[in-house]
Amino acid sequence: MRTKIILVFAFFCFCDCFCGFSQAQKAQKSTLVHVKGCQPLGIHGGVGTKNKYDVGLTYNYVFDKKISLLVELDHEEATFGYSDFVNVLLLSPGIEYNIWNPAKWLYWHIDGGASIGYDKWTADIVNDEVKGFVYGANVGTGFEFIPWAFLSFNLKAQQFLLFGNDDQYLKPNFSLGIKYNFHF
Amino acid sequence: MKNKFVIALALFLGLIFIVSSCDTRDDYFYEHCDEPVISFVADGDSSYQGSKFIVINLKWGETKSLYFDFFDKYGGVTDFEIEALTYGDGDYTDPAGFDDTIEPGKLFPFNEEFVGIQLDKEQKIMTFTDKTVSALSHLKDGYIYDYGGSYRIYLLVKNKLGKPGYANIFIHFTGNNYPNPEIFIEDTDNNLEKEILVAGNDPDGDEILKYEYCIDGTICNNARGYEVNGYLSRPTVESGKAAYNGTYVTATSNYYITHAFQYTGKHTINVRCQDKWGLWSDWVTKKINID
Repeated sequence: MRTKIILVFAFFCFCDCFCGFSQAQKAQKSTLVHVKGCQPLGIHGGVGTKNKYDVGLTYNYVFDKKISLLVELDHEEATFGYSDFVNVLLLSPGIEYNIWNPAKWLYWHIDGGASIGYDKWTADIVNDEVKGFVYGANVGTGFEFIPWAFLSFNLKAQQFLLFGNDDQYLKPNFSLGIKYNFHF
Repeated sequence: MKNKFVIALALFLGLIFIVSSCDTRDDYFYEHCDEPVISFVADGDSSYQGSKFIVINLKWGETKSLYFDFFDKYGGVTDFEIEALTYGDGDYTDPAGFDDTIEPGKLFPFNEEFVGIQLDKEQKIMTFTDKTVSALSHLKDGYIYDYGGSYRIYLLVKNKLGKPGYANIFIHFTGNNYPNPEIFIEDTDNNLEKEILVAGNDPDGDEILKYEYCIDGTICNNARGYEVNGYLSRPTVESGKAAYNGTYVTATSNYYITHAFQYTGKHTINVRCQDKWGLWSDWVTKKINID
């Protein structure tokens, strides 16, 4: 199932890019989002390879056409064997960099940043619980589609490396997001 | 433009491929909990208590019980398994052709030895029985052999999370030990007549069934070996053929005899005995001087 989602994700990106080229004329009408002062705010949801779901908020502060501040807030749940996992909150401030935009409505980002959060592990079968802060870093990449100046869609893949609770782990996340672009 | 697009797409798909294979999280409590700790109490011997490795010596036909317990943080062990592997030099290849989990009560042959293993999960008792019922169990090519052997068993318990804890049980088949007869001489009213008594002294506590006496004779076969229902071990120790000359009392059940010597002076008394498995001892000798 996860593999299918990932493949659909990739296929969607691929198709959207080609469709975008054919509709370039329409896209040129979009107002450029990546200008200083623009502050996209949105929600995203996704899955990793082992979790149940991941939902969160996304905020950007655009410095210029290339660089913006990225702040993400995530909540994730998963089950591993007898252990139930809840990433209660994961705050990830970082920098997003636009490495390619073939059209004004399409951007390819890469991003990286730090992460700090709070994890909780429970195992009902042994009535045990472990919780505590986690910290680490994340990298990601994604496409941003901007059909209208006020709205954009993000398809994104991320990888987190987190430490805490006497453990360390890597986790991926593949998400679809929608953002409202505030222009001040 | 198209080239850039293709490159970008390839990079993007490549990144997806990389990150999609990297979720290292697993069952947290399974990974972090301590394994159940097994402790043994063998036949009430407190010296074994707490050992994760224990040696069980089994003689022919002997049964021993091994009491065990475990400690687990989560309080419960839900599953017991025992696995058997032959022992030796780190090579766990099984010459007897088995490497499966032992089923309780199943009989396993190993190196001419047979062991029965019972696992009582409720009482936490393992019972080991050497299934030898006769020396003929060890018959091979028409001769009786007394192989020793060793046998390693793992006791495996799992806690509620499935975390396994191991302990090693080393079964050492000590086989059958030969008796060590001891000769006692008692005087009678007649100075030339002596009572010869034999104490079998079997280290296994086996009953002594037969004795042979050779007085002032010559021993021709002085070896330990089996003689059961006409089957022998090598070298041959057949009763009635282990000595000649003198007075040779063969295969009697009498642990004492009265012998009338024909003259005063030095005399040599040789005795051997046979335990319940048919194992003849060495000849032992006692010299006496009759004035």
